[in-house]
Amino acid sequence: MADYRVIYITDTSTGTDDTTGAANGIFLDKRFTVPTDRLWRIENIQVTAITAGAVGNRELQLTIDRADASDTEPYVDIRAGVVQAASLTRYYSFFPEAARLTSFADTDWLSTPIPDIEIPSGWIVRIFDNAAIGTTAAPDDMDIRMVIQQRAAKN
Amino acid sequence: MSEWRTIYLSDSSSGSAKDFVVPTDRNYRIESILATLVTSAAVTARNVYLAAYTSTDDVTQPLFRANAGVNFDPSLTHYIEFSGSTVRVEGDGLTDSGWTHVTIPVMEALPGTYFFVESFFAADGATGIEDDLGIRALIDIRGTKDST
Repeated sequence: MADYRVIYITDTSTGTDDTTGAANGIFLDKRFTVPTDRLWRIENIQVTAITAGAVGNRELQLTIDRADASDTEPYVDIRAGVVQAASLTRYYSFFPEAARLTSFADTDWLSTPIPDIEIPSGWIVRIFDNAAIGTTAAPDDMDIRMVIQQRAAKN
Repeated sequence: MSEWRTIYLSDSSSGSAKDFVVPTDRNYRIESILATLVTSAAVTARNVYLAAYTSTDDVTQPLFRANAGVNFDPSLTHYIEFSGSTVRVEGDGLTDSGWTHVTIPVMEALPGTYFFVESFFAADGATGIEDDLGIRALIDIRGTKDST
């Protein structure tokens, strides 16, 4: 296989599914599909979550699954484990070496470890609010930056 | 790409923030950044964070950010170690009366990536008396072209 190279991925779109372009509209939810003939290894996922006024506690969840973003039993299932209420901005870092924090440091930053795995082509990395609190009238917003090791999956 | 080698980077100039940019045709991987924070007499809690951005023109959404999560007291010298290979010291649990550790991702940074370390609150001008924050970094570097 080919050697890896590092790529940056940015998604600052508002309420839009990055993979399909279909508007999911309301709550924090973004998905990234490993491209054809490529393998990914995640070095860091940085999330800026901005919640609107809809009352409720959001909780970020990160799943990695085989071409399915709605599987109830994904291959990887990571929970931030700390909730975020309405009308707040919080920063989340998901990376393999991370210490698991159980409360926000400096009021707004949380780190969560993820497995250091190679993700096959076609698999989906999804970051979302598993409480689905946001509403159409008051949509939450989530910006994501990823640092990815990518390599070709064919010789 | 060429093999990794290690360089040392030091900045002890005055001021509560330090930064550096990955050079053209080079990739960085941070092994360690030791920030030495000398706090002023101003009575306010400082926090320290390290962030990386895609460039100096794009500093709103970080590639990563790591907060120390410690309220640093005035008129003291504090040491904050940022590294990917040791365990985080959480909360206000300073070790040896002034040392803490922050785990950061072991990530390869592309040319132009902007690294920024800051003692904030003090930098916000809350008191007008600025802290001093110096850094010493161990960085893996390699060329991104075969000829470099």
